[in-house]
Amino acid sequence: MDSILTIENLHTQFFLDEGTVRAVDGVNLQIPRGKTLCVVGESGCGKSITAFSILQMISRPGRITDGSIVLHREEGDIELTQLPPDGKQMRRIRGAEVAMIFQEPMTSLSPVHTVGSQIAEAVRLHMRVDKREARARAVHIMERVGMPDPEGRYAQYPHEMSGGLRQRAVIAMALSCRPQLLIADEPTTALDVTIQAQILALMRELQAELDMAILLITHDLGVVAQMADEVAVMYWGRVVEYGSVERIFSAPQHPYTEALLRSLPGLHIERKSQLQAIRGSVPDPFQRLDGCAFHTRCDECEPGLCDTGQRPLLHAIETGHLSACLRRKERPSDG
Amino acid sequence: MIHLILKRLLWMMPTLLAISFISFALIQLPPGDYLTSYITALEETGESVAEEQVEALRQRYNLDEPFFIQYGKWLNNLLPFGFTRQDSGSYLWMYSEGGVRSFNWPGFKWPDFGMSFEWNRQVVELIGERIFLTVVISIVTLLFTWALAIPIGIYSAVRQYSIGDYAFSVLGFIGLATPNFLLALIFMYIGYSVFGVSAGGLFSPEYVEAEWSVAKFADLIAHLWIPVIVIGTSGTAGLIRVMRGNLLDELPKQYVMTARAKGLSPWTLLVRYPVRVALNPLISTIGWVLPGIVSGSVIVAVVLGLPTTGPLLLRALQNQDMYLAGSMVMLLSFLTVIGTLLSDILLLWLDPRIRYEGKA
Ligand SMILES: Nc1ncnc2c1ncn2[C@@H]1O[C@H](COP(=O)(O)OP(=O)(O)O)[C@@H](O)[C@H]1O
Ligand SMILES: [Mg+2]
Repeated sequence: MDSILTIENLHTQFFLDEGTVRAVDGVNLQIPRGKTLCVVGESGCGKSITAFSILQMISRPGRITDGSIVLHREEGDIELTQLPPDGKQMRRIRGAEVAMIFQEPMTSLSPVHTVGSQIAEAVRLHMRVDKREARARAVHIMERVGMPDPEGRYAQYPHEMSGGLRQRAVIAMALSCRPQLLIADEPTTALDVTIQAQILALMRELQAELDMAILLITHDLGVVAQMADEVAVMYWGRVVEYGSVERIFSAPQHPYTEALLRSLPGLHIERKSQLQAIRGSVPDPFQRLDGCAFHTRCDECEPGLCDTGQRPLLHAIETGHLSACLRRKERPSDG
Repeated sequence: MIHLILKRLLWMMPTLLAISFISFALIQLPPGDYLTSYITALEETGESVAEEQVEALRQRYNLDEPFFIQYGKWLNNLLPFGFTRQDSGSYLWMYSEGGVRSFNWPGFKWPDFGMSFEWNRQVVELIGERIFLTVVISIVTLLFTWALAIPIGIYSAVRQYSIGDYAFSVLGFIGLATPNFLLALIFMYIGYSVFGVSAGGLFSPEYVEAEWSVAKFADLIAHLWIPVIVIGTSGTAGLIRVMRGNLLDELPKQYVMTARAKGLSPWTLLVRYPVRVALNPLISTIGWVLPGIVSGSVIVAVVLGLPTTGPLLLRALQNQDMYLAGSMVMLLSFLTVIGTLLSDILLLWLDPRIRYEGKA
């Protein structure tokens, strides 16, 4: 597989007075070039922290403690965790090669700067253009993301725009330097359903145009079905299943993935089965669990196998489909 | 925006009128008046005052008139428009000496703040000769406060819970808790014993009456730092807390992350985004500088013997020097209202969110 980014054994931890939070606890992930990888999982499972780790935007008391994140560029590979977080090289990558958009369109733009100037600033940071040219490019990209009257909108402030328009502006800013990878952390969670569909369609459209990879974080399997080429399911700081969107929906291998699918209306394979919330709740983040982290909530948990030893690694079910379930590793025919 | 400012200006009028009335009432509130206390003071020293003389003074200053008439005349004198005074205490509705009814039309005129009984001089003169140095001290103190508090506030927020943050917090609380006059005494002592600067005042004795010159200016600078530090310390300490708190509120906000994800350098990012937003609430404190110019740190000024307006106001109030006290209280309130308006306009200009609400 041709990847734009490879994450190996990533550990990101927060050192608090109450203890250590293992927010990301051994994530392995490859983001395919030009495609969309969706990361799903309940809230608190480490999706956002994985994304922030890629850009090295983890602030104290958090720190990447282990693992590697390699960006595959035309000029050669670069290991991001080795770069100083706010050094020149990292800053050149942020916004230019890897851009990120956030969940809250209401607060992701500065309230005291015009929307246009915030987009133009990104252009000026990464491209050698003068102010007028930067402005022209900003207006152009604003038009491209479907903002009506981009000239007029340029001088407006975020509070003068609707949530949908703001998220378009944020997308314009992120895409203004034609990044190869766009990280989108729940970009539509705060929006109305219709606006959400529009924004997702826009992202697909621009992805094709720019040939860019998208790492889309969501806890909404409906969004996954609509957007994903590949899916990574995360639980408690780790990827527990990885596969193409078809495989994940039609032949999930990990009990957690199955439970997630069951909890979602209208998407489950057996249409008549009842909606079911996942039993129990996510374990306390300070805890350390032996074996598979999901064993506390898993119906198929086998004492002596699932609750002892190291956390299980991903293993291949078939090409491109990986799972970390200990039981089904033994009896793959069950799947 | 213009509309909003005009509206605010219009609203100021009734406010100012109410303030003037309350000021006047307050001045009149204590029993007796200036003349009574003046006469008592004279009699205590053994001098006697002729009845006729007292009566003449009473007439001259309208002291026997009803409260509202006194207030009306006082207000009329303060305003830059209205009836002009013909001679001491006579207005259009009075007969002039020749028995001919003189009449003058209301129009524009210079405000007349009246006489100070105690100093036997024009109030305008008294305030005028002190206002320049008062303004100098106020502005220098303001600059000192901001120049110190803003960088320290930023540092404390960015390095929250670091040793530096704790050190500044402790210093700040000591600064807040130390009474200004105590600080004044300490600095006077240090100034005298270490730097050999004469204690108190803004000038060395030889320059007090001298014409302005380079040497006098240098002398002023040498004396200025003591009052500036004494007056500015508690303000600085307070402002550090405000700045630190504001910035701590802004730092974790999403737009800071967005800007960082753009690739901005940490310093540019900090100054251009969260600090810029965190400064806005400070702007609203600028309004308080103006009234501070008149009343500013009265006690410190008394202790340090500063030739500023603060001690003048204190004395006028103590002695029921009606016109002087009234004018100053009025001026004070006026400056407060103007200052608030100014900081509102500034905020309106700096913060698009407020501008937007105003429009909507
Ligand atoms: N700044 C922080 N300090 C301490 N713990 C944090 C911080 N940010 C995130 N965490 C913890 O890391 C874990 C993963 O968080 P996150 O990646 O935001 O989850 P999500 O999958 O919902 O995006 C959570 O348990 C959260 O409590
Ligand atoms: Mg999240």
